[in-house]
Amino acid sequence: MKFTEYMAAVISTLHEPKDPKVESDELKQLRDFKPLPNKNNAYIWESPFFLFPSLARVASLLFFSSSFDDERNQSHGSHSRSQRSLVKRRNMSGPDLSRKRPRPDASSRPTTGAPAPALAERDKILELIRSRANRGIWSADIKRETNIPQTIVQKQIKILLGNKLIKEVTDIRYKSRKVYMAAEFEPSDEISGGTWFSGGSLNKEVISDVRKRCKQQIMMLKAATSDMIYKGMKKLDPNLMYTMQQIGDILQSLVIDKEVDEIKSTGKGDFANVPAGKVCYRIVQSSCRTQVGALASIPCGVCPRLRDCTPHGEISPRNCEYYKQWLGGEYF
Amino acid sequence: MVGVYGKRLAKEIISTHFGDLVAKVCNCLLQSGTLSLHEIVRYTDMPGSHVKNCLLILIQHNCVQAFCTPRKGSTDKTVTLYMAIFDNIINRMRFSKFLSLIKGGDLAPKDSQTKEGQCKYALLKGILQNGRLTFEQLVERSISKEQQTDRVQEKHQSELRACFNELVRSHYVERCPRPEPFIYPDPEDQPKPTKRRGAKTAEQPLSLEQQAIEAATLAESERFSEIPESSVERTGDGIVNHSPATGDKRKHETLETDLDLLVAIAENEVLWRANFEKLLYCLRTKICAENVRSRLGDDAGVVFEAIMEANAEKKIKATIVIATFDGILNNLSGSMTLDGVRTILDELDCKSATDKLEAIYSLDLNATLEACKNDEIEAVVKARYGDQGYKIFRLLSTKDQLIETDRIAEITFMEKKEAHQMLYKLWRDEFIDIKKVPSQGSGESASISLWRLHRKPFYQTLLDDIFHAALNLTVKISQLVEKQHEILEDDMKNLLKRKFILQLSLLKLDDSLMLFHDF
Repeated sequence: MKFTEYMAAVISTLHEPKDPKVESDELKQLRDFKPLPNKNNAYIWESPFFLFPSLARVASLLFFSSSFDDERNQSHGSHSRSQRSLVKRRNMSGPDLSRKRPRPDASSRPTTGAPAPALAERDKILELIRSRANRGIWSADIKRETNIPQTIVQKQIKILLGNKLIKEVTDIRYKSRKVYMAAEFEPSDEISGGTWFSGGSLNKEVISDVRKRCKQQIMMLKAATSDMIYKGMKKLDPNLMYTMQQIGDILQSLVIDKEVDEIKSTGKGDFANVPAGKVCYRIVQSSCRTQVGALASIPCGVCPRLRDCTPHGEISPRNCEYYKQWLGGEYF
Repeated sequence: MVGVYGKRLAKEIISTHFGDLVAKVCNCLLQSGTLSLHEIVRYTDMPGSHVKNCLLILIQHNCVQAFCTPRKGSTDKTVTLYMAIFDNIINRMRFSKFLSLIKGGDLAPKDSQTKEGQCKYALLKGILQNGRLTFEQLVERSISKEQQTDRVQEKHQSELRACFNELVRSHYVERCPRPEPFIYPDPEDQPKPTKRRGAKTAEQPLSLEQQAIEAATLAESERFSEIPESSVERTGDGIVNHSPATGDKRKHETLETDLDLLVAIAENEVLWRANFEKLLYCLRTKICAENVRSRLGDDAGVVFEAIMEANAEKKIKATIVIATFDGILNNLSGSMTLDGVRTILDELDCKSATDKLEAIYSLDLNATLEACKNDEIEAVVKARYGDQGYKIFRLLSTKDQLIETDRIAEITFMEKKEAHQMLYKLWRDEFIDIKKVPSQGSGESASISLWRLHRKPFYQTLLDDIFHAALNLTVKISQLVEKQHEILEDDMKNLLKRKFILQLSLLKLDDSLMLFHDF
């Protein structure tokens, strides 16, 4: 009955007994106190607090600032030791002080683990992400299909990422979007961009290397079809990991860059190894590649204001800055 | 259809060569189409005599063609109308190129210059400078330059005639067209009375101009008929008469008289001018041969020139060239083997056929001309938009079909965003076209963008830009010429150097102009 001792000490501070040696009736009742449960299983001291309002006031002051909720006690952490010990004692099995407002039922208080609805949401999101296999799913699509609020979706995704059940991948088609995929899948070519992409961007070194090897093959053979080029590359490098289609893409890019010409074989001369009429590739002569057009070699050809220029207007060849720079002198 | 800047360039050329008054009359005809003298006087607000003199200068230099047509509302009265010939005005920029075509001439390398070549060069130069001359005037011009004795002059005249006939035989020089042909307009083309006069004037010249040019042009045999030699020269040279003499002496004398008359008419009356069609054909051969040489090698260029030379019909607008195998070999002068020639003919994509046991090859010039045009356009795109723009343009140019943005980014190995930005830049500057197609997928953008290069409208836009650039160069050259009188001697060297750069650039730009306008 440590509490009664404490109360006695408190009361003694409030009431000065006439005779300190004589125990007052109040103290007697306190000593003889037997707590009685009420309807809500809250322990109240009926007689002492009704009989001694001042005592009730003191008790309420002492307990007002204490928190009955464990989580609140833990989160605040600013309670005094006495308050914390009071709460602890009370929560263990001690008598409860009467309060103005009824306290929530202990069974209705949340437990220390994740609540059941949150778990269900997380599972739903994980299932949805898994269903998209190697295509992945955008966070906005998750929200739309699960009807879960955005904040909760973000929170659950964070937890899943922390648990390494899902991963975030970059979609090269929509780089600003966050796309999530189950950890056990690898992104498809549509998402990752295929062989020529790494980390969401073009792998220029790999592309440049393959282009160089294709050109080497064409130079060796003088004129060659895509089959011949592929076989030649495979012969030099048995571990070649590119397909015919991919080599075809590279050859097309070489044609576009005018480094290689795509022509029909005549079956004679340089084309002796290629059957007549078949499409083949040949290196373009350097003289053809370095030609500069007539219009491109004068300032007017690249001028952004050509359409506004007139012989005697505000913009005219007579006062054109580009001509001055081109002719090399302010005077001209 | 000539754009605004084409007409401005023509006006600037006439102004540089003949002055502002002549340029004013020429500009009036270029802007308003075919006009009568009275209308020109009214539009230019110049005295009638000035306008007449300007028209004479323009006709002399083949820039204007006159023709007669019945006066409106009258059957017996006629009116003379004048039309500007835009192509001939632009050809004035190319005189130095035309002269460079004469082999062994003054513009050829010094070690390859020949007396005959120099003679031809001098004759063609005289004709180009003066527009139209008779043979007698050409001889006088040559004599006045060299200041020879009478005896030497006679010999010189016969040499000149030989060189001149060579020029005519090669079709570099032709007889001038009829000065004022009569055109009777087609009844279907006659304007309805409800139409306004302005509209009539604008509508008629199109058909009338073509009719006038056709009516003025002489027949092929007459156009390139040479100057015959006089009977004295024939007897002196011991050349057999074309028309064999009969046993009758009187008839022989009559024939000789007729021949002398013909010679006199041909020398003194007939006006000769440069045949721009042949000269442009030669320039086209040169430009295409250069392109073939750069793509397929020097041998291919030589064979190409041989095919063009062996072509029987040297029409500038004809894109199919037909030549016999023997004709090609003759022009190659034995520098290549038969197999080598056949290999190159296959590489040039020539189609072979047999006609009367003779191998004939036909070459379609469209592919070569397209390759030349593509080179020019791609150079502009690369200079304006960089490598990325160049790749996208090359792709659209080679594929010639609608392609989606994503596919373009895939083929050119570009980031999708960069490809999208570049495509919009090219579209904004009217290099390519866009077509939006509604998208079917949910959650995707509302439409898909498809891109394509439309050549015809694009070529027209580019041609106008080329005319504009040529006009700017011409204006800049004029500005430097004006400054020549103001600056000190020290700066003169620099100024002449800059002027030379501008003139060379103009000549080079003229090649592109010919590609997109004349060929």
